[in-house]
Amino acid sequence: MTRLTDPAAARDYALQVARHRGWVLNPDAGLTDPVVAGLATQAARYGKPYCPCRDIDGTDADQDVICPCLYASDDIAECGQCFCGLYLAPGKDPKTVGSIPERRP
Amino acid sequence: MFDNIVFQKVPGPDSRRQIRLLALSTCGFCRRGQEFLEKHGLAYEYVHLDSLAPEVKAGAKQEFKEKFDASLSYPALVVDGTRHTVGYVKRFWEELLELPPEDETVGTEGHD
Repeated sequence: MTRLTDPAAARDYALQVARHRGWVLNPDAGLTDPVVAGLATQAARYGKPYCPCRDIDGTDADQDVICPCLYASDDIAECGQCFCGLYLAPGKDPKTVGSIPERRP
Repeated sequence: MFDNIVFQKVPGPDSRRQIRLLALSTCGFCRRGQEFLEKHGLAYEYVHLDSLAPEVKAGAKQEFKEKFDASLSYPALVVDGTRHTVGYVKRFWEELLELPPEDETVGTEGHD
């Protein structure tokens, strides 16, 4: 996972996740770029691409929020976006992306 | 509140209110929130919670919970120490800061 400390590699990782899960990467670079950079930062800090939009410690308790988090499928099905706004449902208007309620217990 | 935290100050023409942003350095919506405040010329202060010592961060989260009876998520905007919103939803920020709404709607869908 250490290779994900490179933002370009983190972007490739996110693109692969999106393709595999049938989502699309948010085309709004103003949001996506800092999130991808945040993924790289999390990988550098904790060794894994933890969700950059949540306050985590990188312990076993945070395994549920390694990107893509366990809540992304439900959030995308219901809101058309993941918690970070990185992954979108196909057809979701990027202009309507904003924070959504936290589903994580 | 948040007496143990050193906030970074961002100047702006409108400094009528104390606006504090609790954010993460890695969070896209936190960045977007800062852009919103700067676009509207609002002076504000911010802190990246992920840069704080664990005990200081824990204290801030506890203080937020006690003050607002809500869990801290990011970004969180606190105005004059008494009013707040969590997350970046533009129309909620406009309401909290008493700004005229813009046409574009951002982030309104949610779940219970």
